[in-house]
Amino acid sequence: MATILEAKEVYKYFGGIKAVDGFSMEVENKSITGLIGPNGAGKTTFFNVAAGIYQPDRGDIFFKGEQIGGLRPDQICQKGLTRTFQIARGLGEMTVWENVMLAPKAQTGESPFGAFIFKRVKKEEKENWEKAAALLQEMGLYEQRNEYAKNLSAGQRKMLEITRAIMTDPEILLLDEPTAGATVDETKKIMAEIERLRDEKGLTFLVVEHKMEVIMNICNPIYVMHNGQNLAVGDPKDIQGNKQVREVYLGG
Amino acid sequence: MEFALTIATIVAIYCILGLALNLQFGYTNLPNFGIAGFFAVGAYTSAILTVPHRFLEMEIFAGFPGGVPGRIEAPFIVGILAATALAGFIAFLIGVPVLRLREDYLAVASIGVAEAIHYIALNELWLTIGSAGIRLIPMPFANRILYFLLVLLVLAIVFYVINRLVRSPFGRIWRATREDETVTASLGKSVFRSRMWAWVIGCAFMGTAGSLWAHYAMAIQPGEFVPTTTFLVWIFVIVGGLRNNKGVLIGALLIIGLFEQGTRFLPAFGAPYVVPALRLIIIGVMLIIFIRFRPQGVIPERAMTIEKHIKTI
Ligand SMILES: Nc1ncnc2c1ncn2[C@@H]1O[C@H](COP(=O)(O)OP(=O)(O)O)[C@@H](O)[C@H]1O
Ligand SMILES: [Mg+2]
Repeated sequence: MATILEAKEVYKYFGGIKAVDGFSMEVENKSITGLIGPNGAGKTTFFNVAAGIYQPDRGDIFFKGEQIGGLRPDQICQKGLTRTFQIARGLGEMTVWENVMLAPKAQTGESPFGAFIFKRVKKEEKENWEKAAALLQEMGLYEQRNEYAKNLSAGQRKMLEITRAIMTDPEILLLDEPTAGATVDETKKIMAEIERLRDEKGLTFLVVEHKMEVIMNICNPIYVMHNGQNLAVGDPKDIQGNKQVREVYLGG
Repeated sequence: MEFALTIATIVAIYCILGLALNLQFGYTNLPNFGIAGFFAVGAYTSAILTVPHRFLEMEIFAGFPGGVPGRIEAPFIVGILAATALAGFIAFLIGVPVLRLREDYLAVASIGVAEAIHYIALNELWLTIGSAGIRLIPMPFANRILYFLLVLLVLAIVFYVINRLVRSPFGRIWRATREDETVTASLGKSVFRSRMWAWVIGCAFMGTAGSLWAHYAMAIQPGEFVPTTTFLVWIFVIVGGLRNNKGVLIGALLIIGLFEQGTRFLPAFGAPYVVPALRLIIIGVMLIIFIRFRPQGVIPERAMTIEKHIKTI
């Protein structure tokens, strides 16, 4: 299988804090790869570097063989890599439908002149909404389509964020704790949705999670990060049986 | 009647300024404290392009006894288009360095630019004739009713264009940028580009308003383009309801029409400065009351349902 995302010895320091300290990983096409590690391990920072929000101090990041380290977030998204945020960042003052309709790429109406090509804008809005409505149904958010995003529950906001990310039509999705704040039912739904999208649409996922049932059930392989560095990598069984990993997690 | 027409024309011109500010600050969170500057760019551009080649002030104050070379006596339509374009272009030049920074810097930069423009109007005699101002600016139709209708037409166009943009996918990016730049960028949208357009389009329309003002007043002076103008616009936009274009029109009617202009012809009492001072105080009190008790303004922003959106986009 081909590698879609590859990080090679990525470094990102904040002053004296070595948030990402020579981390490397490979994400295979159509995999659901897990990234775990104790709090402060550097997972979110690694996502921020991969998505262009931070520039790496050193190291390379290749997406489909192309160097993306140092590009802007919008450029990286345009190439097919979309990320979500650990703390759900729904655009609260916008409705659910506006949130998801914001995302599609290359909309005709996204320029001041394109906005006046009436027929095409209307047609695209209809098509995008069809897609979005189906996804919202899937996520159980369709009833809330006309609500302001700020009125959703924490779990619903997470789901909205994932839906919105999918609407950018990415090849790989980087999900930062997609089930944080979600109820048991919502967590199950999110897990099922991730697997469905991988199976039906051939999407690739890189998932940071704390909930072990999520990680061990759907992720393979799993990377373990500690102090910004690679600690271990393997399938769920390997990781569960790894002594070092246990020590890091149990603080032992 | 004459009096009502005057107020109506002024209110309509202010409405254009308010809609432009609402586009910038309401929808995109770009604080423009230099409204008077872009208004002045429009007024002066239009005046300079259309004014007669020779007139007395130029000969006396600016020292061009034979008239100023290069005055082209262009028609009104050239004046208003050039006013719009130049105001937009100046906004673009400011935007290139400033819009990459945080929004706060724009507040400071826009004040600076307005001051610089005021300074040019005062001091570049060859261009603006300084504090004496430019007179004999031609009014198209030379009929105040027709001119008022023209202003209304321009207002309607500006209203329509801004509303359409705000509702379009482009406007969604503006509103997303206002709330969270990082999220917007992570969804593949260029925050810089979206802000730049809001900034340029808004300032361009302020230039349009300036041109309309110059040809209505037929004479302009640097003293008209001062921060008070800017703050009046801010006040009625906030009172009317940020992010709601209809609210902006109502705010302009209330603040500019009723109080700022409507009270101008009240019988004076007490010392000569009492009435103007009272007007400003009343406007200030209204602003405070609104911010305290109705921060969303007369008409707050309303969300549209997706069903209505698909039907009407
Ligand atoms: N913008 C920042 N400035 C300074 N320190 C940061 C910043 N972002 C993260 N850090 C630090 O980097 C380390 C890694 O944090 P983070 O990437 O959020 O870890 P994780 O997501 O694995 O919990 C932590 O010590 C955190 O305090
Ligand atoms: Mg984190």
